[in-house]
Amino acid sequence: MSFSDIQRAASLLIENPKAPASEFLAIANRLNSVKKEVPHYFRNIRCAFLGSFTLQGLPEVFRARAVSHNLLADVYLAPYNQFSQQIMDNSSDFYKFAADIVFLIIDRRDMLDLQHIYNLIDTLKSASKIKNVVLFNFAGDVSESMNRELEKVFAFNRFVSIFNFNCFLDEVGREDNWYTKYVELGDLRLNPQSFPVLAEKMIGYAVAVSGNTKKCLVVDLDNTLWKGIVGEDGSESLIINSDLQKNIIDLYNKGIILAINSRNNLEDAWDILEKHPGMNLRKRHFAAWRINWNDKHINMKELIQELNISSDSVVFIDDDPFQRNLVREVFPEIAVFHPDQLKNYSGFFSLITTEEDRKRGEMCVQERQRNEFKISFADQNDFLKELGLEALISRADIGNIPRISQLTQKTNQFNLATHRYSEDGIRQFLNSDGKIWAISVRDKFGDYGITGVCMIRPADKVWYIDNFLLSCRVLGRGVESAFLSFVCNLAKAEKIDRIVGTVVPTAKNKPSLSFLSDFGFGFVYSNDSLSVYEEKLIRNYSSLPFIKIRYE
Amino acid sequence: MSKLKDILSRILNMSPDSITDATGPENAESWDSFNSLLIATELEKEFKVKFSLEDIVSVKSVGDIKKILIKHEIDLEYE
Repeated sequence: MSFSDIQRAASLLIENPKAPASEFLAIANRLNSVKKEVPHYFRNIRCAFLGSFTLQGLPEVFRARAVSHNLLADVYLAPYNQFSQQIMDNSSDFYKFAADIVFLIIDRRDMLDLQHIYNLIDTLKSASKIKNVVLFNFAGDVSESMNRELEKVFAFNRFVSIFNFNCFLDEVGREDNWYTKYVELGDLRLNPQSFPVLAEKMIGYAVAVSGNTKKCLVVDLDNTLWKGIVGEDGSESLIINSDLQKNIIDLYNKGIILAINSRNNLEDAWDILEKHPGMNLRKRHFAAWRINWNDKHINMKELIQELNISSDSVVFIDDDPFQRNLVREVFPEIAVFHPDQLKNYSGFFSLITTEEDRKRGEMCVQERQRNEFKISFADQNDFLKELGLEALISRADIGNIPRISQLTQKTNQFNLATHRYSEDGIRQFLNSDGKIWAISVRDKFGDYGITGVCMIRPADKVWYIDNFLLSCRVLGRGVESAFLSFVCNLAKAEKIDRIVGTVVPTAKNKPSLSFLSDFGFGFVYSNDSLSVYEEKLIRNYSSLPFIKIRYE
Repeated sequence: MSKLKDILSRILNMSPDSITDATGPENAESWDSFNSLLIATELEKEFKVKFSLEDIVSVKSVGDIKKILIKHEIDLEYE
């Protein structure tokens, strides 16, 4: 069985909410034999499961679910009821495992009091590699006040997330899944048949922590956004799928880009999207569309190019299994499933929504307007002159650290070294004398927000570029050169002699590989994994005429 | 009995052909106590039946499973 067979099997399991636990375990078993074939777009994540009762099987079901989120999860399960010991002993197997994310699953009956949990979490906080602790809340009506206290205590805590286990039990059915007869046989308090649903809910945290949150939702129209076929049934007999549409609008408000891939006449589709009174979604919510009679995988390729995103950040929903299979076969990296499953899908989960996220839907529409404007100019220079670009460069501060961290996690195309940082990582970088600047860009069409980051490690007379990255949205307008010129000028003002930059080629950052040498940096050396360039700070670094730069 | 064989094959990581009525915890390496419970919960879900504790504890082979399923009125020829 090849890796793509496993991917296909994992993808089909999203469609089937009633699939038994054994199907997921079968996938996890096969994963072990294909480690070498993992595609480049997969990200790794290390997940530890610490529980006060039997959780055997859950980590493996979780691993299988992870495949359909383009994640390769390494898992650790603490021995039965040893969660306290594993956390308190700093030479334990748990610490040796070096988890990125910890799931703490404790039954109320197995702990002394909440203080016990707070102490455990404080101990975990000092283990620097852990990026998030997901604490399950407690089951049953008797736990209501304890659960409310947990919500209150951890409301603004970036390190700890509370997972509503109690609500999950209501959803899957408490009677069949919690404290069943199986408690008498091996202390199996949670029915393994609930693991597939539980694992999908838990995987959201892994998606968020690994920076793998999906960015774009592509939708079909007929029998997806509405019940009926507009070309055949006419607009009055369509039944609008309001629940689904409201769900999609929530995603739009979180910053997810929306696009349409539909086999239809353009006029029929716009008629509904612009005029039908029952619709929640409107044309303005969509950044791009292919509404024609082409095959959907061809449309998908064009949409991805037009939106300038990478295919592994796309989700596609369509009621037609034939179209789903077509897209799935050509793009195994795209999450493809039936519209009914969108509410159960965790690929869009993120721990925080930044201001840029909230504005993204609007920004994509502005981008469409920019492109239409650009086509109207024969000369690229004239276009840039009329665009009215302005950039604001500022130092990292409490307000922009989340966005800076997010950019280091998500930016792939224009990224010289691809060093990923959590928010804590950014704070540590600043605390050890690192310098960080963020660049925020706007033009006459709108504000892109913070779209670039430069991270410098200063040394005696030298500055080392730790990170230099720019969102692909603002490439090709001179912003990257302007930003680097600015940094060079700052270095000169502080009597630094030279700036050294390292370029690490990845599968995605081709657009950035020649940037330093094009800018004028001299080549120093290279090996199999990286190239080093150096700029002696002697010349004058003037900005390009089309960009107004401000520094605050 | 193909549904039963498929379930056992996935859980025990054995090919369906190698599973006979005599297969059980004594001779199948992967049939440990956890997998026994997993088999029981999965059969309950797939065949929509509820086993008693005695049912589960009494199973020593695939043949025993079949007897219990028949007792719960599951038609193994059809399934």
